Amino acid sequence: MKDKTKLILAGMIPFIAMFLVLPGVVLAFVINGESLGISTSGFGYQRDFRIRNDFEDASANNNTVEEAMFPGAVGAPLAIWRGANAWNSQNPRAAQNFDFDYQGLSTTSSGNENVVEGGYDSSGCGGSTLAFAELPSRNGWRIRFCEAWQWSDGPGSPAGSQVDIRGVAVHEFGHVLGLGHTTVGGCNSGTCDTRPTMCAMACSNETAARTIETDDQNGLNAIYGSIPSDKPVLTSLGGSTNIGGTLFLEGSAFGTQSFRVKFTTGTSSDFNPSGTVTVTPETTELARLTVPSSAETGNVLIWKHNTPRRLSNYLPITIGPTLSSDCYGQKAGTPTPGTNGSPTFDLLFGPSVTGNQFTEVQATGFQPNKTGFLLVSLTQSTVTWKSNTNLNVGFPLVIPLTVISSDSNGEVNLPFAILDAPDFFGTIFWLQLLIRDDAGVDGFATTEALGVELCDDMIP
Amino acid sequence: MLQLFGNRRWPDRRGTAFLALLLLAPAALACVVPRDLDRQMELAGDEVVYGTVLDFDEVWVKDSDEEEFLCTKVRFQADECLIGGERNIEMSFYFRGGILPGSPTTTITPSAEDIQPGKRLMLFLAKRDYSQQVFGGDPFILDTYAECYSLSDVRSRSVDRQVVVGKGYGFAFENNLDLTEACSRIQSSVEKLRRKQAQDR
Repeated sequence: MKDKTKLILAGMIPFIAMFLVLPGVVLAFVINGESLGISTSGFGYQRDFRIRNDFEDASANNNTVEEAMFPGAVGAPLAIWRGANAWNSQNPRAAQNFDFDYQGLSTTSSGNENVVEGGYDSSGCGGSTLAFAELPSRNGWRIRFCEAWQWSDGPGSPAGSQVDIRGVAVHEFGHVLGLGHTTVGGCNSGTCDTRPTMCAMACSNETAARTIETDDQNGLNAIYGSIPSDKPVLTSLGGSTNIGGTLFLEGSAFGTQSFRVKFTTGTSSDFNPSGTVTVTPETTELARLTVPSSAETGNVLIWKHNTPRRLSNYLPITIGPTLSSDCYGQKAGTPTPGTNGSPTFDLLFGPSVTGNQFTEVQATGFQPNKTGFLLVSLTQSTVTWKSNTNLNVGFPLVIPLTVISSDSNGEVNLPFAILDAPDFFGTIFWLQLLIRDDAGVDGFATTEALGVELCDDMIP
Repeated sequence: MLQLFGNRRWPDRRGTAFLALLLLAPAALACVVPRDLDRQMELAGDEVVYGTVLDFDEVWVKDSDEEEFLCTKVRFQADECLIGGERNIEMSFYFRGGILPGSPTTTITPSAEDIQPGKRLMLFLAKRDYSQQVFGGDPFILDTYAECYSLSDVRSRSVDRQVVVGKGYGFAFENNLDLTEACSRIQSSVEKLRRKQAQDR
């Protein structure tokens, strides 16, 4: 009996030994020790990437069809951005607490600038190397595609001996974010269709590597974890996407603390990125900000830079030209105070509206539930009416006096629908509100005049 | 040594070799194209050597556009150069990236486990256009880990032999095979390549 037990134990030992000494095989994915931070100190923010597009093959840049999720990118940059997107949280195959941040094109490729460089032909690019990543990535990383190969930017399968930029990009981004090569799931059988993207060997001409598989996803999860409930999620943009315009971010889990809104800026990497706007959300589902002058067409994300740090998914954004301030209101004249002081105008851009259409003019500071008038003119001037009420628009009026009431908060909200009326582009309309007020000098309180130029970028 | 089962020693030498083979199963670190042996010789077959790592140094060099990067220079005692024909010579080669803990490295750098003094390796080496400018002289380059195979001693009652440890799908040697057999296949591949090159000319 004793001998039999020994025999059984002896038979089991190789398997026990395999389990103990080969965790990489048992646990599948391999972690290379990297992890891309999103902090503002130390090596800071490392999930941004930019592209130096020096591919020389025509086939690397002959896809000229833009895609809605990747605005402004065609050719190799589009293929590479799509490669990064394979690891992002909104991708069902990834769906972990991780997102890359596209930062546009670059003309340089310093080693710490988080650059993906196409067309490299020096050391490291001999023989069989398609591309490689330089590590460690936590203090700045670089991916280099070797020029020796004929590269294809898709979107279809590579032809002949071409190699798929997007598939190789997915693989290299996997290294950068912290994964080594895995050996499971068909890696060693050459089964291209369903094997992990992080297999050591590329399949010839494959496009299967464009999508990650379960083993890749498990590796991503091991490094960055599942999506936490406080990771902000962006679902839509509203308002203006012009520089200087008011942009609305809609989504969930914005929290109540201020955060940074991060745009594509095309600048070099640093550890505490510029091109961000600090915003305090209006609700956990809504934030409003002014589009900064450094913003470029690309992506926009929410970066909770305070602990616990979180980076949202990205949304694509097409940045328009700098707005004339007139398009969004200039004020002139002097309000006539009433019960609640001097009423004032504000322009609101409805968050549910696409494009740059402003949808509402709001005035606050009136006595609640009082009636009055809206004055609309093509000119601005200030005259005193009755004993000391300021009329801040010129006459004649361009529309008849319109009866208006303040609400229970003392606000007046005027919804607008701006139509495509090119004949009126450049025309400034001057608005003023007169609302009855018990404390008004002549029984009215008034706003200043608000001048709004009808600009073509307001048209949805 | 672990004592188990009375006075029997475990693992014995065969067990050690068995575990060594398991430990040396594919642990790849590159993004490279798949190849068979013939293709390997085309990709990087200016010299094929087997022998022992003597030591290594990490050196900073500059490439053509003055970019600085870290390379590893390896001194190697070659038992045999399968292309040049030399035997028992000391040589050196370079590869991109460092292997010391914390050094800048790349995903094509051979593994630190392989490049250790005393380690037995078979290597597919190449001469590259950039190497003269970068390194001076005309040194051999080890392009990637895919050109680096471990040798393992396998001892049995009948014969002691050396085995080239296979790396799995897409590598020149997918499975383990005897060193003598590997050398024979390489020679065949060289002859095939020479015939092809002659035809092409």
